Amino acid sequence: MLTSWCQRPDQTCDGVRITKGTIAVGKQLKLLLVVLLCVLTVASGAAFIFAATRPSTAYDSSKVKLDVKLLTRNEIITAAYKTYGDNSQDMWVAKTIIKNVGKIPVRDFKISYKVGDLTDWNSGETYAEIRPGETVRDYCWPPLNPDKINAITTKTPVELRMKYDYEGLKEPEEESEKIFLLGKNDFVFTSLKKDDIVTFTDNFDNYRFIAAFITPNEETTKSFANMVGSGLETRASDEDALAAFHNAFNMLRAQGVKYIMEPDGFWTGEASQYVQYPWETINRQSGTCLDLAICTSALMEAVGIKSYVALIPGHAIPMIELPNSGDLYAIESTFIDQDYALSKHGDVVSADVTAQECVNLAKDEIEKAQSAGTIILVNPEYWWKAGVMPSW
Amino acid sequence: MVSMKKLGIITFMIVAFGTLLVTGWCSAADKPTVTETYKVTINDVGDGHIVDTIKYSKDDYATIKKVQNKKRGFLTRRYTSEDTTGEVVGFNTDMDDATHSVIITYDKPGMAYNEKGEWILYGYSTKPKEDSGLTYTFEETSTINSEFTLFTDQVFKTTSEVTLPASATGANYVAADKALKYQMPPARTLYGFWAEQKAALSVTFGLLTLVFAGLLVFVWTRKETVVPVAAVVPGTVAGVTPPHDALSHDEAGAAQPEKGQHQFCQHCGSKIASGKSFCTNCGSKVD
Repeated sequence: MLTSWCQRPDQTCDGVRITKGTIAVGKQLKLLLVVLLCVLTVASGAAFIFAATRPSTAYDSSKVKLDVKLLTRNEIITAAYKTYGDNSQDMWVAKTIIKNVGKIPVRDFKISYKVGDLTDWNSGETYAEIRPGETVRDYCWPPLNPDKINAITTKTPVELRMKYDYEGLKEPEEESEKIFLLGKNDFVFTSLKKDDIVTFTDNFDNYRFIAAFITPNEETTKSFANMVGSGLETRASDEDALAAFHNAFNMLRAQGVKYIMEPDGFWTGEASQYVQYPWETINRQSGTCLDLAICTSALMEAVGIKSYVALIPGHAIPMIELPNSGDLYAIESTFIDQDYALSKHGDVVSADVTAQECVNLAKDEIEKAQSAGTIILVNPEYWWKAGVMPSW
Repeated sequence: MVSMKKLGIITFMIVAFGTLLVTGWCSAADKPTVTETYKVTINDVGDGHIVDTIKYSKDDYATIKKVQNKKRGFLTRRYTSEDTTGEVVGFNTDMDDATHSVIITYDKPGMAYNEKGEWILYGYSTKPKEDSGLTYTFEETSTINSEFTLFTDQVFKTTSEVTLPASATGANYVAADKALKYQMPPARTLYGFWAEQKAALSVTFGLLTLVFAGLLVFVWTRKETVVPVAAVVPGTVAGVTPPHDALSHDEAGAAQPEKGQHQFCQHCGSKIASGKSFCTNCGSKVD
């Protein structure tokens, strides 16, 4: 301030004018103070505005902004209902994409689903926190009620409902979509769009679900299989396994089972078919090539023989794998119907249309398909383990 | 099997096309394995950005390219099927002739799951071969039979490289879950210091603004700020006695009154008329 000593009244030194009895602050100092205070006021004001406009970390549910999308499958293959209920599979019935598009985290987000009257509201998932910008994908794998599923014989619409809640929300939000459950016997060979079908395999994109129709533990099937495998070491002997294969063919024929074409009325779509479970084929004494192949496969599995269903263009053929050699044997199972075999293919079979003849015929068909690269082997044991369990 | 028959026409065309493909592919079936580099970059909120580079031998690439040109989207139709609805964003496929590679890029929102601050990235069945902090490298050799091999068996050597967010900590591979797990800072810290201390800082800076503004007004409205001086006497200002050496002789001289003005006696303080050598009051000598 005073850098030199002022000795006289009325003398001015360094901005301080000494008058009689007073010292006055000069203009320079005032200007300096004004500038300094201006800078400080503006700076602290800016800091105040910046601080006041920061998003609050305090939870305020009114500021929650979520984008919630419910997506569903159009059709459910009801026969594979167990697969849709298994969260280790990718066969969700519905899924919800939740994105936090707000500026604060969402807490305790709970979501659950209900499929018509086939399920109750499931316990659902809870997401403790969904951060701003975060996306959550939640899947619905509903445990469908078997008794109610068994009653679905034709394509049936059901309402799939989804509700969600989070901390601070007054009432849970709910959305719904209509989905269709196919009849329990309806099978869709492929879910690929028409334009996406390019290869032979594409026509049977859902082939793994055929494993759900192969039901070796169902009572009628088991009883019939007991007769087929009676007295034979089917798990240990190749000869006995092959004999059981022949037995199944002969006993189904003895049961009066006929080969039928699928009635048009059962059509559920372009690439679909009404497929019978083994006990239905046995009880109704008729079946398509696929029904007969499935029935034979189930009987073989019931007596401990590894089996396959071979899908070739326009046809299905049952096969077995012998326990010791691992050799594969197929059989033309539609020729269980002796009348059909003789009327349509009398030139290639004897009047008896024996099981052995049908094994030989099937071998040719399989080899032909293999060389053309147009064959799919449905391995039920593999698919059961992979989650496509028998329906009943 | 009526439906099968109805499919006959389509099947015939498909079989013809399939046979063409298989024929073309068979010659390449014994060629070296396909190498795939699958790079995943995870952001702070668990979204993944994927760059999948599948490098074929020259012949295999030519076959693949032929198919891709004939049927656009064939290779990658699984990425856009019903199963992946709503999961893949910004999908793109490039065919790189220079490296004989198919390059697929896309984003997958919500790829890592947030479980109470612990983030989980599933889908890694083998132990990582390398772990350099936030980047994990997995290697796997497997036989693939899919669109990318035109439904023939091909051996893929896949190197997956996963890069976790820069702020991730405690990353580790959990074999039981076949997953990578890591921690992220609590959500509130993502807002930063200012948001976390919003209330305290708002009050502090609000008050400071008022104080500074008040002071500014106060100073601005002062025309002159006057400070009372107790008694200005020779040798003192505002009642403070200067040190003896406060003024040098020259400086003191510089402070001498001009001619015609009065001096004051150093001893008694009486006025001394100009030009006098002695005080008329006390008789002291005037310097």
